[in-house]
Amino acid sequence: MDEDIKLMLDLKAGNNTAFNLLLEKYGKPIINYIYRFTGSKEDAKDLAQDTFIKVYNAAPNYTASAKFTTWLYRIASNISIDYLRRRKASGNPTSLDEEFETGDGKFKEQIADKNIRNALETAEKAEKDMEIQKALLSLPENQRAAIVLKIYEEKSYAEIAAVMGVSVPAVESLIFRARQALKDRIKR
Amino acid sequence: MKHEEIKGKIMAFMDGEVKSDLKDEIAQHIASCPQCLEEFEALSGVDSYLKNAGEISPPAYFRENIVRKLNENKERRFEFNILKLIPASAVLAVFVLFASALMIVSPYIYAGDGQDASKQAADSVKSAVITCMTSSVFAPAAYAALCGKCSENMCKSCMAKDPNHICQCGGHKHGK
Ligand SMILES: [Zn+2]
Ligand SMILES: [Zn+2]
Ligand SMILES: [Zn+2]
Repeated sequence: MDEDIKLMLDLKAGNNTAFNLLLEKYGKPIINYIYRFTGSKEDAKDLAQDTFIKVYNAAPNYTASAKFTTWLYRIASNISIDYLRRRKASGNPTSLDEEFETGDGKFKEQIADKNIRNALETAEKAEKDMEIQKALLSLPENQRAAIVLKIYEEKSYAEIAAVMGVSVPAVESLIFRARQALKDRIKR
Repeated sequence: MKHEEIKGKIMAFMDGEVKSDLKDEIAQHIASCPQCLEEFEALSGVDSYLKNAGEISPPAYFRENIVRKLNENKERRFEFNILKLIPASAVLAVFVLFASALMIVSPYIYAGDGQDASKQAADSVKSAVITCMTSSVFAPAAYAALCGKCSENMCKSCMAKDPNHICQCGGHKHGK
């Protein structure tokens, strides 16, 4: 039996250690998935918490019908989509975290530091991260989810299709359009 | 396969989504066709660009925060907040009274069809109450340990009593 499914069934039977093991294994991937999907480092941590709370609360009714990770990423996706809707409704659709703001403030302070080289490297890295995150956020939600699952989570088209509830050809087309859009963006 | 057909499969090839018997043919074509090579390199460029992004790590106390939130949620679902102020034994006493009343009344309510079901329900409440009464009312620690064997209300009060307790029986599913 799939190791994760076994952990879920243990959790269902009341073994909370199984929950800790799932958290250890998937905490980081889920935080990063949500971060890439929503663009917010800070909120990704809360949203990942909410994801695992849902997993815990759903355990009593858990049945091993789908691959565990499919179900887990679907929960994380739905939570991210809800969050993006809320953010959109609040009139702040694609904001990146404050800490991402470059140009002045934070990074200048760091650069003024004695360890200029390190600070510059950190600043460049952060700037690069922000640029990548902006590129991802420029994509429509479904293209973004598909390409993030492919590139960062290394999921197959079939698993992405199962997470997103669409067909395999639809996934291929979403990823294709995402890559084309990003290709043009990088060229510029 | 012709150029056009292969060009349309470059991305699937990169993603490991083409059948193994086609892989060699596609790889060979890409190596020898400037146009397909360009497409392949452009798409690979996108991937390596994206993969340059840094990762974030779970914050300190990630697990602890989840456990805390789990218990907060349970308390929020606990409809009568005032119950939090009443010792669990008092809650239990009320519950026992209520359950006894129900046991007396239910056969009349359900008289006619469904008598077996209601008798069964009454029996399970009765056994839960008896089990919990004998080992929990006078021993609060044992009361928490009992959770999972007892009924929904027991479970709720045991969670209200100890905010750090994760109900072994998944008492949260009774919530709402
Ligand atoms: Zn070609
Ligand atoms: Zn409990
Ligand atoms: Zn319970």
